[in-house]
Amino acid sequence: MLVLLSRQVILSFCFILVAIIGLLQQALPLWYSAILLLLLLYRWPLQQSSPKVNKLKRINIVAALILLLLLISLKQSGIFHFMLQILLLSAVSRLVLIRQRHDSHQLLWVLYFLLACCFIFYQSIVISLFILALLLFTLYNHYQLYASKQHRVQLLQLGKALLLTLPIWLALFLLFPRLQPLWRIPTAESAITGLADTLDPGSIEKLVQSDTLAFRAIFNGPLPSRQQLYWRAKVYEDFDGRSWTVNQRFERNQARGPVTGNSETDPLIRYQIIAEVSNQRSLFSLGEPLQFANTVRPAAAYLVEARRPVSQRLSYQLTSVLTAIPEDNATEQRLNLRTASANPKTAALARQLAASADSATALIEQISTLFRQQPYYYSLNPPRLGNNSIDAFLFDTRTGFCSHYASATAVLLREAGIPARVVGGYQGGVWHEEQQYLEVRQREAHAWIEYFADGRWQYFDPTAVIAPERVIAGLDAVLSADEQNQLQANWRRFSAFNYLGQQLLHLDYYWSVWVLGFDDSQQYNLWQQLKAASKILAMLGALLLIVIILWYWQRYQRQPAKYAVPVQLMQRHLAGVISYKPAGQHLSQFITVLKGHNPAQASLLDELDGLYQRALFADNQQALAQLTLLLKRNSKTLAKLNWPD
Amino acid sequence: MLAQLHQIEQSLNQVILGKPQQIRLALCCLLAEGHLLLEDLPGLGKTTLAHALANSLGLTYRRVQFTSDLLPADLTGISIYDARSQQFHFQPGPVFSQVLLADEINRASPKTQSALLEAMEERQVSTDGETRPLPSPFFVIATQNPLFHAGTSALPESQLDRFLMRLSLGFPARAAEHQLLLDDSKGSRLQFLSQQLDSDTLQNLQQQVSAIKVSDAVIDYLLSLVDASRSRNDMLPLSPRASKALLRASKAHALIAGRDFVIADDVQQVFPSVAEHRLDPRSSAASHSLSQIILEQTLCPL
Repeated sequence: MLVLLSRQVILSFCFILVAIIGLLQQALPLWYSAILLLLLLYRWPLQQSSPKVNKLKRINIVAALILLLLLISLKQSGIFHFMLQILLLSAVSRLVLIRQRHDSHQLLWVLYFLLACCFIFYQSIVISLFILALLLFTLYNHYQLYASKQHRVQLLQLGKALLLTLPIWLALFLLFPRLQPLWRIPTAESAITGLADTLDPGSIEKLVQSDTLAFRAIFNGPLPSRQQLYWRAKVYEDFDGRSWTVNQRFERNQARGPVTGNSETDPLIRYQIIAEVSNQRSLFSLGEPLQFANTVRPAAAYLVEARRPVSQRLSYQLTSVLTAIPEDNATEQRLNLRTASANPKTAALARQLAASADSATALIEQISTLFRQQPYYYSLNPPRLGNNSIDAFLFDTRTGFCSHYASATAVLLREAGIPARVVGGYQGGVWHEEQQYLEVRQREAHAWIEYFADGRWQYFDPTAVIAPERVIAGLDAVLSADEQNQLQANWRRFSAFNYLGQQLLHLDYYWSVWVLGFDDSQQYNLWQQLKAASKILAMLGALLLIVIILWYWQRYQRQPAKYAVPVQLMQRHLAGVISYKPAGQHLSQFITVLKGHNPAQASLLDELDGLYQRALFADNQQALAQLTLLLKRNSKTLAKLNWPD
Repeated sequence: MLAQLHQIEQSLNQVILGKPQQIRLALCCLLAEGHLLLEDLPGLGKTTLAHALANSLGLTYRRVQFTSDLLPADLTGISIYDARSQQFHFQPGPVFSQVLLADEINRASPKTQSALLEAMEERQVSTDGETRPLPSPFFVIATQNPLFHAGTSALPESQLDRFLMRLSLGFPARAAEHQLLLDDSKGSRLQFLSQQLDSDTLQNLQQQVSAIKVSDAVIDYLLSLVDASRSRNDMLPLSPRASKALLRASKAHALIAGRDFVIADDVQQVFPSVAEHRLDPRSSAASHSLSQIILEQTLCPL
């Protein structure tokens, strides 16, 4: 049947496709998106061109050329992205030529598939809802192609159909096995967020100005005090006189020594972390992690890391004990004694301090006193430092952020012969009482040190000495009004936006816990619970079934069938064409019209009509039997009846 | 018997050329024992049709030309004092015949028009405190000019409702008019009537109409048509009398078609003629717009 697509439908398809191209930006090089959009625009000049032009041939040549380009760039993009690119190419070139309803079939299915693919790249609730809306819009257009003309009824029917499929969605979500992905999603070259592998003086100040979420934590038990919430993410052990770098040994996966934490005296903390996309492997943990979920693995220096760079929101469960960190590796002490020759004044000061201190603890005490008594300041905007950054900070500027104090302390300790290293991570977080989770943003980024004493790495936070409120009450408590303004994004100043943003974040939290976090272990739990309640469930199910059967039976008893038997028979067997019958036309009249369109079946239709009339209007049982038989015998022929448009 | 009926139909078609559908509906109306209203412009043959119908049914008929000064007594009859017997003697009017041809009925005063009401519905006439039954069968075949013509007064709704059908012949097709003109010299077209029913056969046929089978499905469809008119405010609702009339007309239509059961098509065929003048009394007979709307918009699952 030849049905031309309306302008509106074609524009809708274009809109959906452009939206998909936008959503799949990660899988598409910029030049390719541009080519696709240009190709899409080509539809209009092509439509105007003379009918002599072989449009199909033209598009095929263009598509073949683009395919060649894609093949050339295959190495860069990877096979998965390549597949998406081909699908998009086929969809776009289809849309360029499409005229008839008949041709839109493949296009629609490809659109559905591409929209589903978008979910691979996005997990946040807002974009998920947007993709869902696009899916529904596609469905609506699909429906509109085939539905009858009345607008309102159509939406109603679509709504009904969706409502009917809702239990299937739920069942698939809850019960479908969580298979491992069949392909590996290539890591995008997207920007790394969070703490980097190198800690410059100044890098944390920059990070703190970002309002984005780093991770959320849920505690299975009471919330530890703020002073205990030192989330370790990176351990910096290489120092070049100016900046700190993660030691290369941490790149390798090392075997973990025996668990040394004294779990009897120190309380165990069980918690779940939902880490946001960072595109790096390092994750967050408190103290010494003892038990790991299988999505993460232990890393050197008792850190935790993901098996692959975190390109999707990652949820993992940990059990930690809040003690000093044990020694991980025999070379660790030696590694953390190395000093750079860049800061001679600092070295002299360290020797001076060490002379009057007999232990590491005493030296720490001396350094604290130094910071407390000398005019040192805590500021978000410290002056820039030269190459001898520690000397410049300790003796000239005396103004710094947490990383300045941490690296100065670590250098002082090293110069005095005590192994020390800088730890980067997050401190504190915002606790949401109602939703029961801790929200940790980039602005909570922090640096402190660990020094080796009593056979373990003890933590020490020089910031707690210079600005104790930073640890107790959070960053805002320490900063001046100007600095607070500098931190706050403009929209956060309006309380209504702030409130809305916060509510959206909470929604996002529930989404990630209940929808994204629903993994196979939770599924297993659900099965176990179902099994435990199987008897009650079976009884309930049986009861429900009985009620439904009774209800139907009652209904059946109360009201007769809507139509008489012959009518039902004819409607069933002429299902292919009956929708073309005008409401007011009676069936015999319709059959007369139908005969005109199907001359080959005229005698069959005549016979059917005669039997139908006698069966329905004269209540002739014999005719009814004959009609049933005739319909059954010719059901295939009847299914193929033509109806021209 | 049915063959006789068909022959009559054929000969009527000889008299009124090119209007087989209207003729079938007119016969249908009479078989259903209903009164018939013919509405047309002057000169389109409605009086001829009325005459031909009355003739071919083999019934005694009287024709009354309605005028504005026609009195009710001119229709029903009057009691005259007979000096010889010193008694009032009832002189029956033209209404006391089997077929009353009421020509140009809408030219009479409303008073006279309503004198017909009792006769049409009750098939009896009350004068001077006495009720006199009309002969059986009793038909009124009335003709009227369209309402916009000078000197007409509209029939009240109540009276319109008593006509089973309202028909309009309309202009003949060119070929039919050609034939008409060719035959002009041969005299009145009524001479083409070759067949007559007798009174017994007519009664027999009318009994057969009553015996036509109607399935529940058809009655449901008929009711949904009637219901449709009741749920709208751009037309008058159809009364139960109208639905009864619709059913009888459908049955008669089935009989003429040679069936002993009513099909949906019967209902649809007679519906415009039966319903239109009840849906909108001011409409002209040629327009079937309201009834067509109902037919198109009411779902016919049959």
